[in-house]
Amino acid sequence: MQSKTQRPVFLDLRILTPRLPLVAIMSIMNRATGVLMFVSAPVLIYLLGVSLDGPAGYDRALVLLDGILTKLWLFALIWAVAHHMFAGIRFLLFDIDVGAELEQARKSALWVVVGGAVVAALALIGVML
Amino acid sequence: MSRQAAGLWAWFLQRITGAYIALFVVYLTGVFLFAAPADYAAWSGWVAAPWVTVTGMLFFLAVLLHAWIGVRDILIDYVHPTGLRLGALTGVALVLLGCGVWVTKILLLTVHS
Repeated sequence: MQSKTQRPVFLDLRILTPRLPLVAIMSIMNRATGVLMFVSAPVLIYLLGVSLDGPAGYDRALVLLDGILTKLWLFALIWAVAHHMFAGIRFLLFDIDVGAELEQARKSALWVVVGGAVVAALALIGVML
Repeated sequence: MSRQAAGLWAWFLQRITGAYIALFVVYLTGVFLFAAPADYAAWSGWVAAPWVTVTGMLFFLAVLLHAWIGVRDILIDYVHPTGLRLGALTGVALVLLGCGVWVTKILLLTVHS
């Protein structure tokens, strides 16, 4: 029994931190938006090809872009690009040792999430005006 | 590049391509916001301009490389059985190569024919 009490004790301190901190949410969103853009690439290339296939193709591309589902997808895509870009700028700044401290990194993660959402909202407002 | 430095190479490539993609996206956004081509002639003429074709080809090359490194990292993190992982990686590589050939054909043949 003596040896048992001398073993290192595992104190589960994970309970002190939020289960899914904002930095993690931002990071997961970076991956999710990346996957969304990867999946979207063939569709975008298809639309590019159609739009450049003579005047008739150009008109057909405009019709394809006009659907409500296409617009929802484009909205998600704009959000994805903005979020991914802000997250990327954050990573580039880390590489030159800007904002790599925990407290700053938490703040910049918030800015990435907010920035992406703001760009998406601006795009939505721009379309509706 | 030695096997040990492969990760460093990927890290470097991901940042270079990311920076180029970001610059090109800002340029594209500016064009579509302030000088959007109004009809087919303007649109195809813009794409066919040598400056746009060359920087556009570079953009798609950067996107394919960036997507490869990113999706590869995600697959390595979440897909563990070797066969499944190899299959998924092969599928992704084929999709990206196909996209590259396809967009090259569009930008070089369709527009400049």
